[in-house]
Amino acid sequence: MKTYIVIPAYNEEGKIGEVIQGLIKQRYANIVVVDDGSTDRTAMASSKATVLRHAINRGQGAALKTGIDYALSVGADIIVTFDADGQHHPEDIPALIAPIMKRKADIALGSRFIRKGSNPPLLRKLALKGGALVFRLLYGARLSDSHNGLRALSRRAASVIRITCDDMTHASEIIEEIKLNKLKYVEVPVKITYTEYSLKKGQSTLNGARILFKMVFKKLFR
Amino acid sequence: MQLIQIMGILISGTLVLYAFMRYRAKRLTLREFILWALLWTGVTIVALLPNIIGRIAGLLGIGRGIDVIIYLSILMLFYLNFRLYMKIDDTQKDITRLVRALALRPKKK
Repeated sequence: MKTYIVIPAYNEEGKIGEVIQGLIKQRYANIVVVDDGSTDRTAMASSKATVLRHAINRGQGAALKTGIDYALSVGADIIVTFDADGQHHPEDIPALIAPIMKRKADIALGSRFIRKGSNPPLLRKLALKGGALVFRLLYGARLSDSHNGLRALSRRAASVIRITCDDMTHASEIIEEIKLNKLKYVEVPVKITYTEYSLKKGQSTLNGARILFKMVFKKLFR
Repeated sequence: MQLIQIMGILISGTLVLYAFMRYRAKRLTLREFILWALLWTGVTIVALLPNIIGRIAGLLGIGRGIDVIIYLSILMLFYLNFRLYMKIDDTQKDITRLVRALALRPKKK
């Protein structure tokens, strides 16, 4: 089965090369970096991968969809979404794609809370757990983690899930789409390494509040 | 006639005329023109007969005429704001679609 790794990247010149190297070392050959209108040399640093370039910065959701559309167009059977900031580990991918290869699930979501080893700061942990609670209330999805960028999608899941939110709200949108399309999902333990770099580049907890507002708004009006 | 009335009539009259010219120049659709014309004609009527607002207020059970205007204005501003929000949202999605289409274009060698 053809597996594609999709990495949305915005101003990641310092880390992206290393991330791609790590994936190549684990023999992943089909790596797609979506350079989301970076103002630095992200594209150059990604030369070992296929680079798709957004002319203007459109947000992570938009970049993910571009990468997924591309992977589907070149015949991917499994699509793995992976963060560009080095917080994910290529060693987690085999366990993530296993349920999809065995056709036990349409989508596998990485969770940093099933197994010990990740070290989220307390506030971050609370926000993520709060997010999981919201998923349960809004969509009826029982998850241990929310907003984890490491996932694996079957071709079918990638084709039916519609990502319309350009920004970070897409992570919630994916859960909503899973429920709407009655896709089978599993959570797989993965390790997230928080570094000063990834925390600086990542989402602020405050932004989470804005995302929550958008999710509720979307649920009410669409 | 009060100065404010004359000003109201002059300004709203000018704006109806302006809207008409924009419509003639095909910068406004017929629908848009009618909407603008109605709005400014309404203002003209109120300027000519200020008591009319007081009557409407009485009919609606609102104390003063000026309150009717303020309530209506706030409603209209909210509505326009909402429309603008939707429009920007649509535009953002269009931009993303365009950016994506460009990113997915086959590369020239």
